[in-house]
Formats: sequence, C-alpha cells, structure tokens
Amino acid sequence: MKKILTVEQVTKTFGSGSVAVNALARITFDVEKGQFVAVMGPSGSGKSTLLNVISTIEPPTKGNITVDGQPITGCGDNEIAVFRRDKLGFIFQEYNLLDTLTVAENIVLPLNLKKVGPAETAKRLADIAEKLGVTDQLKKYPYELSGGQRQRVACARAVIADPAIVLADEPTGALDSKNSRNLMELFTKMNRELGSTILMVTHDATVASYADRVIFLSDGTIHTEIYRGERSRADFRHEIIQITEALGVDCNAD
Amino acid sequence: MLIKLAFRNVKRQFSSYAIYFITVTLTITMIFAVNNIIQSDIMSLLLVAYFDGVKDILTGLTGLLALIMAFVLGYATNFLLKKRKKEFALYLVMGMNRRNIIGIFMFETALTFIFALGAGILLGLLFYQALMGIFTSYMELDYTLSGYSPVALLYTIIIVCAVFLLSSAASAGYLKFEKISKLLNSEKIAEKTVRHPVIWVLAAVAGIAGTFIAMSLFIDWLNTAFFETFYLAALIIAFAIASVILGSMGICKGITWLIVRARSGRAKSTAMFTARQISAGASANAVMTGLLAVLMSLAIIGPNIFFSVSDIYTRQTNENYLYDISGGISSFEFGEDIDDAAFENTAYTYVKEYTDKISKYAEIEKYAVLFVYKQYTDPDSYDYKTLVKHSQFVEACKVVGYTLPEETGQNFDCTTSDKSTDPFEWSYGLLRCPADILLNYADDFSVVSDSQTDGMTPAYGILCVDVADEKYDARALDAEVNPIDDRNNKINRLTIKEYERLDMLGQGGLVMLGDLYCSSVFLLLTLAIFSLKMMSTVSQDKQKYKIMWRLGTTKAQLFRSMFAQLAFFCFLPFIIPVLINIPLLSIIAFMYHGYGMTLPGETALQLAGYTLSIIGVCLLYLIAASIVSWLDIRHSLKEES
Ligand SMILES: Nc1ncnc2c1ncn2[C@@H]1O[C@H](COP(=O)(O)OP(=O)(O)OP(=O)(O)O)[C@@H](O)[C@H]1O
Ligand SMILES: [Mg+2]
Repeated sequence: MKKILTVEQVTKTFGSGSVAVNALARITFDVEKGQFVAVMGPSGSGKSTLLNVISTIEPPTKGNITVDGQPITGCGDNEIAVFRRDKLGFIFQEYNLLDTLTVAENIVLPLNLKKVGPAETAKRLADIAEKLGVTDQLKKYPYELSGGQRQRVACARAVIADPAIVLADEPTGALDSKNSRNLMELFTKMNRELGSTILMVTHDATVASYADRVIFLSDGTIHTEIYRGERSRADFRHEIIQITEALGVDCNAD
Repeated sequence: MLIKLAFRNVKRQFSSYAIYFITVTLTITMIFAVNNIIQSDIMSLLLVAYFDGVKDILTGLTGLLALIMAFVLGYATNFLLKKRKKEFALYLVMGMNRRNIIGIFMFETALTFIFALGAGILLGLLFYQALMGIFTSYMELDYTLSGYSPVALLYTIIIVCAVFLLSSAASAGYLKFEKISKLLNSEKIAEKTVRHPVIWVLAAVAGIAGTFIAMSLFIDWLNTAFFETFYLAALIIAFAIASVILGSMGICKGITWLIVRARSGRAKSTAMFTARQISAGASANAVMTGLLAVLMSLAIIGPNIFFSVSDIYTRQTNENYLYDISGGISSFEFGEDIDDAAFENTAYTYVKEYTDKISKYAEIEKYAVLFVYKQYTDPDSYDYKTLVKHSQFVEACKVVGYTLPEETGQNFDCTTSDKSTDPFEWSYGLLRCPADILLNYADDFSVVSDSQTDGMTPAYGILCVDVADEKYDARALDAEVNPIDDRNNKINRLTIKEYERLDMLGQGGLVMLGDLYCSSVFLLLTLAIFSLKMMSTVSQDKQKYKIMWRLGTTKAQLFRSMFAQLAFFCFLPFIIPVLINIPLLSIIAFMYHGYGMTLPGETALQLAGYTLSIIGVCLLYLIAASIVSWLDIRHSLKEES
C-alpha cells in the first residue's frame, strides 16, 4: 500500500533550558493510503502537538515528516500554505466554520482557494453534500445549525478537495454520544466510500473503536498501537479500554 | 480582593483599556476646549459687538457636543463590555454574584475614566490655545495666551461626569439583567439577507438627493436669514443629517444586497470570504456608517462654506471701498455763507489733523484732497452739474494708482461704474471711473480746468489716502478718528477700508470659530470611533483568519482580504461626504455669483485642497489601522504555531 504519511524521529520541544518540555520525543510511524487512524493517550501526552506538527501549524524541533511524498520540513511560509491547501483537510473541535459565510460557501472554500471553476465546484458540492447528508442545509448559516450538523459541514469541507489526509483533533469533543456516533458513522463512510485517509485524536474509546488502527501516546512517545483487523467494533473497543486503563487514563467508556 | 482583581484586569486588558482611555480623553479634550472658548473674553467681546443669536448657537453647540460625547462614551463602554462578557459570565458561573462583577467593571472603568479626565483637561488646555491661535490670527487680532476659566472647568466636569454616570448605569443594568447564557455566547449573528432591497436602494437615492436639497436650503438661509432665524437653520441641519444617515444606510444595505446576489459558485480564492465579511459588516454597521458620514460631511461642508463666505466678504470690501482711507468734509459744518477761502482753510486744518492721526498707525504713501462743486444750471431749479478741479482730480487718481494720459484736455465728463475694482476706461472722450471715486456724492461729474471754479465755494471736500500695504492696527485707528457718541453710534468721519474688512471678518469669524472647532471635533471623533470599531472587528475576526490560514490561505492573501475589508469600512462613510463636494462647489460658485463675482480659481483650488487633506488624513489612518490590525492578526497566527 502507498504510504501517505511518514513521521520519522520527530521531536518537539517547548521552551528551553530547565523549563523545556518534550511534548514529542523521537516519534516514528506511518499511515497508509485509505487508513483510518485514531490517536489516544492521557492529557498532556502530546496528541494535539503531534497533529499540529503534521499539519504544519507548528514546526518540529527535530525529525522529518513526509505527506504524500512531499517533505514538509524546511519550507517557506507560502509553500506551507499551498501544501495545507492541496494536501490537508481539517476538522477541529469547534470554531470550524466561518459565521459570515453560508454552509455551501463554507464547504467550497478549499475549492475556491484552489481556483476550481464554477461548474466543477457546483458539481462537487452537490456530490459531497448528497453523500454526507447536508444538502438541506446548504443555504443556511452556521448559527442556524446544531453542533452535530456543523461537524458534518466541517467534514464536507475537509474532504471536498480530495486531500491526501484528513486531520481531526477531538472532532466529537463538543458533541453528545449520539451525535458522536453519527459523526463516526460519517467518518467511516468518508473512509470507505470516498477513500479518505484520516488521522484523528480522541479521548473517547467508543469513538476510537471506529478506526482501523489506534496509536497510544504516553509522555510524547508511542506507548503501543493496535489494529482492529477482522474483529467486531465492540471487541476492539474493549481492548482499547483495557489499554487506556493500563495507561492510567480515566477514559470515557460510554 | 475585588480591587486587586480590577487592577489586574486593567493591566491585562491593556490594549482595550488604552483605546477606551484615548477615546474618553479626546472627548473630554473637546468639551473642555469649547467650554473655555465660550467663557473666554473674546466671546463676550463678540457677543457685545455682533448679535444676540450667539447665545443660542453656543447653547446648541454644547448640547450637540454633549450628545456626541454620550454617544462616543456609550460606544467605548460597550466596546469594553463586549470584550469582557465571556469573562464576566465565567465569574458568574464560578459563583460571584452580579453585584461583584458590576463592582469590578465600574471600578475598572472609573479608574480609567479618572485618568482620562485628567489627561483630557490637560490636552484640552493645549487644544484651546491652538484653536484660539488660529481664530485670533483669522480675526487678525493680536494673539496673546488666552486665559482659562474655572467656570469652564466646572461645566466640563459636570457634563462629563453626568455622561459617564449615565453610560455606567446603562452597562450596570446590562450586567445585572442579561442572561448568563447570552453573556457566554456572545457570537455575532451575521445578517442573512437584506429585506426590501429595492426600498434601500431608493433610500440611498433619496438620502443623497435630500442632502443636496438641504444644502441648497442652507445656502438660501445664509443669504437671507443669516442669524435671524436660528431655528430654521436647526431644522435644515436636522433634515441634512437625516438625509445623510438615510443615504449611507441605503448604500450599506444596497451593497450587502448586491454582494449576496453574486453567485457563490463563482468566487475565486478568498473573494467570497472577503465579500461576505464586507457584506455582513456593511449591513450590521449601517447606522454607524450613517452617523460617521454625517460627522465627515459636517467636517467638509462647514469650513468650505465659511471659508467662501469670508472670502466673499473680503472681495466685497474691495469692491465697496476704492481708497484705503477716505473721508468727506461737508459744507454744512461751516454754515451757508462760508466763502471759498474759509472753506479751504478749515478743510485743510481737518486734513492735517487726520493725516497726523493716520501717520501714527500707518505709513501714508500718498494723499489727495478733492473739492466738489455744484454748478446750478438754472438758478430757479435744483438741477446742477457736479464739477471737480482738474489738478485735484489728477492727484486723486494717483492715490489709487492711475495716471491720467497727458494728451487729454483739461475738460471732460466722467461717469462711475458699479465696483471699486473696475479699471479706469476711456470711451468717446468720456472717462469711466471705478465706483466710489467721489465716495457717494455723485455718479456723474465733469472735470474742469482749475480756473473755471475760481470764486465758487465747494459743496464738500474729499480726503483720500493711500497707505503702505502693510498690516496696521485699523481697529485702533478707527477708535481714535471715529469716536462714539452718547447713543453708541460712531460719528463716521473717516472710512477705513481695512477696518471695514476686519469688521466683516468679525461677523463670519464667530461662525468660523464654531465651525473650525466642530470640524476638528468631528474629524477626531470619527477616527476615535473608527479605531474602536476596527479593534473590535479585528478581535472578533481573528478566529476566522485562523481558520482561513489553516485551510491553506497564504499570509499575503489574508492581508489582501483584511485590507480590502478595512478599506471598505474606511471609505464607506466617505461616499456621501465626497459626493457632496460636487454640489458643494456649484453651490459655492452660485454664492459668488449672487454677489456678482465668479468663483476665483485659487479659491476653488483651496477648497479642493481642504477636502483632499481630510481624505488624506483618513487614508493615513487606514494605513495605520491596517498595519496595527495585521500585526494583531499575525500575532494570533503565531500564537497558533
Ligand atoms: N505552545 C506550547 N507551549 C509550551 N508547552 C506546550 C505548548 N503546547 C503544548 N505544550 C505542552 O506539551 C505537552 C503536550 O501537549 P498537548 O497539547 O499535545 O497534549 P494533549 O495530548 O493534546 O492533551 P489533551 O488531551 O489534554 O488535549 C504538554 O505538556 C503541554 O503542556
Ligand atoms: Mg489536545
């Protein structure tokens, strides 16, 4: 399988001298095309930092990262912006959408940035909206949507430009369990039907159990990782809970 | 404990408080300066010298200022409150009671306010001196450091504190009764669509038309009822203000509508983002924009008009008075039967006395005495010819810089034109002289050889003086040569052109002072409100720029988008004020026409320069604001990384 993301010996240090914090310490792993990966770990273990480093929001202190064959370290500001535009899709916990733009306008933003023509844009919008079930909301404004609906819209925006990888930091963080499950069904659908590669950070074992593979971080290093394989989701979730308990995390076992 | 918290907050929220502080300080500066002017000696001097309407105008002005100040202070407090809402909600959630948070907010604002009051009064002292400097130089009075008035200080403190307490009460009420959820969830809700777009477009047209109509009404008022009917002017101004607000709102909403109509699919790059940001802002800030447009229009129109009025006055003085100084000596003074020699003797005694007095103030370059004779054509009727001596006429012409051609004979007829500025002109043996050459004694007369008037007693004598083109104290000269009689009238013997001009200026000067003051107030306040608006907009929008940045927008694109937004909001309030210049110029040209003049090119240029400089100030401001906002946004992007 083609490797979409490779992370080699990545270290991220905040501060310096006696107050230096190693948020990430020589982390190495890779993600193949079409994989759905969850990252778990105790608070402060470096999950968000990992995602930020991959998404070029923060530069790593040491190590190399390659996305879709393109190394992201040592690029200028503008190249990094173009890289984010062309290769990445984002979904955050909140503040995803621009409140002055309609839902449709929010979704097509990545296409606008890529200067895709109007006919193509309209076609792709209709297609994605249909697949992700937001067709009825296209004309509305973000404040007219519920939290779950907003995350759906954010998903549509994240995948509309066919990014190499979709990065999500606690996408269910602001949602209740029913909406969380709905969103994960949607992630699965994006993964299966659209072939999206997804890297997602979560605290929630149930949420993580939708992934193919779970990486556990602890103190900035990879503690362990497990694959779902042919197991049922319930079994996989059970194993996740056992590991998180071993890591000493009070995890949401709902 | 609460006090400590408040202190710490002021320190932490430094930039917001700095803006609040600057705005309040500026406002207090204005109020204090105007109160000082109202209480100053110059004002009481003008009050005596000119008209009673002044009191009304000044009261109106203070009222207007108090209103504007209330608006600005309310806006500034609201700005602070908006920034702190979430924090206060958290305090509430954590178990503080509402009295506590109101206490914190009051203490913080009061603390800042007291410092602003001090700073404002200090600045006000300077601003007042600067205004008086400009004013006295305009009035051509000697500039001395003007005295400050304790009454003005007292008034200022009373007005300003009252307004502060009012706005505090409003925010306290808000903090007391607003729901916690509302405080927590302060996200702005963007307006979706504009209802009745056609009506708004019509409103824009009506507003602009109304502004123009109001302006021509105002000119009418200036020409006909100047100062007699103050309420009429107030009515016209109210109409103008309403029109400008309506027009600006119409433009704002109209633009929103146009942008929303643009199909979203067509947008490239950040265009849709920028357009939506602008349209949301334009729609939400329509009223605000209208108010700013009013302030700017006043700042542009006022000085333009009053500059023109005083220019017209000066030119008119030139047209009305030919000689620098002139005076008539009537034969009435000497009785009916005075003879030729006695008249001349007495006349020359007067001439000596006057020229001595004049010499004390100004350098006399040349003077002449012209006797006017009446030659009755028929002893039984009152028909007569007016005669002047050739030798004296030659000298009088030289006083105004005209040398009669050698080849003309000693006898010829003269007539006078309408204006003193017209040149001497020969046609068919007739000399057309500028108006006022014989003062107002006669329009048509004959110049005759000296011998022809031998033995005749002059009807009156005319003294005409040319003084050096330097500034001199015409007011003092007037006081010396034209004493005031018991009934407070001047016994006018000498007409001093310079004094007449100053007197004319004095009438315009009062208005000019008020206007100078208002336009600087309006300009400064506009910029203060702008900066508040800009700061709160940028801090509200930071999150959006972050999202755009994450989606892969380059910094250059973000900057362009931000700049477009700022430029739009900077210039929106200027559309009407700038448009106004077109009718303004034609109205001013019309004014000149009304006085029988054409608008001089140099004046038109000066007016255009004035307008340009106001726009220039705003451009500078836009650039500064862009830089500050951009640094702010970039800082937040860095925070992210
Ligand atoms: N900007 C920063 N400056 C300094 N230290 C930081 C910064 N961001 C993160 N850290 C530190 O790096 C470590 C990892 O933080 P990170 O946000 O990645 O944790 P996390 O796994 O996402 O935690 P959580 O589950 O609570 O979100 C923490 O010790 C944190 O204090
Ligand atoms: Mg985190």
